[in-house]
Amino acid sequence: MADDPSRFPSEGQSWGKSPTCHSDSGWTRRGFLTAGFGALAGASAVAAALSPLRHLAEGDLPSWQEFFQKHYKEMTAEDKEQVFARIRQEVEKRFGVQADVSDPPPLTGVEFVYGLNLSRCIGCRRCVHACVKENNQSRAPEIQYIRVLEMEKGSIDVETSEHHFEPASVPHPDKYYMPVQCHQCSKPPCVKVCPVEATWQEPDGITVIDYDWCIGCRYCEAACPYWARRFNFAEPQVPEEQLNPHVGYLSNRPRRKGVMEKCTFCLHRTRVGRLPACLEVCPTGSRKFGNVLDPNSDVAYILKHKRVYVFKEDVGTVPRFFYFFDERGSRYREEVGGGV
Amino acid sequence: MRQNFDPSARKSSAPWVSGALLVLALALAFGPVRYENIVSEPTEVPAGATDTSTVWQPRPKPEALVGLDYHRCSLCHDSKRPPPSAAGKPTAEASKTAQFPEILLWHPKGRHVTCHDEEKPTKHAEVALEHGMNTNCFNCHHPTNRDAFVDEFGREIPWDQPQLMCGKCHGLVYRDWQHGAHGRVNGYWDQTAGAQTRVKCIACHRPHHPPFPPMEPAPGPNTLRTGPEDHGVHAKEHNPLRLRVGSTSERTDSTSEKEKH
Repeated sequence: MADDPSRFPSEGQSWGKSPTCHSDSGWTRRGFLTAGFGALAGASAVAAALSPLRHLAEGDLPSWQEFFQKHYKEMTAEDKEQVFARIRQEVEKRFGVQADVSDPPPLTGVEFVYGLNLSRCIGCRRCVHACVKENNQSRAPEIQYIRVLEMEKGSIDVETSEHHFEPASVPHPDKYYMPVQCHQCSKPPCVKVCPVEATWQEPDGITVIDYDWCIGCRYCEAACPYWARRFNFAEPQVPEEQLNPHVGYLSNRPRRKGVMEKCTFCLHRTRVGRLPACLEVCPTGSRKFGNVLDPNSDVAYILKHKRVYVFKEDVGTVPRFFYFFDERGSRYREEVGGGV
Repeated sequence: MRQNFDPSARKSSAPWVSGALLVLALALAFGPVRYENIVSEPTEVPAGATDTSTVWQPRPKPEALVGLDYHRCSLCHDSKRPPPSAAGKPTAEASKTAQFPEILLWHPKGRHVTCHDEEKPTKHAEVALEHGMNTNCFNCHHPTNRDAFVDEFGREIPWDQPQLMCGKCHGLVYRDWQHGAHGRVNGYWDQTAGAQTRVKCIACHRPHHPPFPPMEPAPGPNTLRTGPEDHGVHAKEHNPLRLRVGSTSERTDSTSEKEKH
């Protein structure tokens, strides 16, 4: 069979069957050395290719429980308890902090919307840093959910906007400021593209990510028209003393390298009735949050009575985040003098 | 072609291929390519950047700093009649008839504290009223009860309800504030779950100079894709992940040039 000429049409093509290596008496010295040398080289190449594994830090590989964990939606209450216990353990190991892991369910009859007053925002970026503090984003490399755009007055063109503005004081009299974050779309393109269903829209309108299910393909980042999703390119670093121990499974629990994350309207806060962190820190009161299904809420009033601007309305995402205006903006050009 | 293939050439190349692989493997195993961490140091964020308190802390009581201590406004202003008109200088007669408090405020010479010397007021000199066309004290302050504000009909507005006074002129903003579309709200959106604090006008706007104060912006983004320009080893290469920085001033220049033309 081995010498079947139809299988080996050319003798020279098959090294193993060449007369040098194979003779009636068994291995020749040259054949043995060549084959051995080749095998050694191959083994070394495999070892070299695997050598980056030497740099694996503790925790780089998922634990047994994490690897075989079910999808969030398929978990029973018991499974969840086990998962939360594991997260508590991991947080304590990583940060030395006793975490309070919660998973508040979406409230019935509640649909969250967020409004931002473009006439009042002064671009001070307090919201950006309050969000980072609340949601345990990585400090290095830096991950921020909110991006404050400095816009030309009279223009809604984001192509001419700038997020690296560093003046001595804001607002600049010729600019206005438009913070952009996750718009919690009703038709989220990021959810549509996820190949593993690691991200989905909850009944209260918040699009969430199961960080343990995400494979880090970043399709959702590419699909998002607001650039609201962030990727953990490196192991996220949060100083132990700055870690927020009140963590939610779907929101601000510490993430790992290689997963996506995004704004969740601080669901660990908002689902228990509190306001999001970015809203509470805003010194101007530009940010408005509430239940749009409640006709007496602030946001329902704004949607009914104020001039509202939906960012990139034409892409058809139907966001739950909107901008609005006042009849007259702040008078930025006036210097604020002394006195009381 | 196959007939012309020389088996001896193939035979002799095998050790060379193996040797090259081995050398490569050894080289890779020792890691000759230096690992360069492009993760920058975390940005220092000032503590004030996450402070949720209001811009101003309005005084809880109608008090003013006199000497070294805070005193109730009515302590000095216990007059039952309004002071002389702002249009004319205080006459000697008016000064005589004005009632000064029985309790003397702190003064080095123990004298009565007067509101005016010959020319200008000696009290409340720190008040710089820059409130647009609203230039009269008694548009807001009650003429006879200085612990209160005044409404359109001369009635008193309690000190802790300044929004009623501001709403006299700023009706649209007052309407928005009443419905929660203007102003800061902290605490709970769901008021059945917890308390909500709604601050009043003077927590953000100083009544004598109301525009919202400009402030220093918190540090800007330094993320992998939004970070400032790379000044490291790759500075000269075009890196799409490092976007331009410092263009605020450039754009300001360009707009000012446009204005010139």
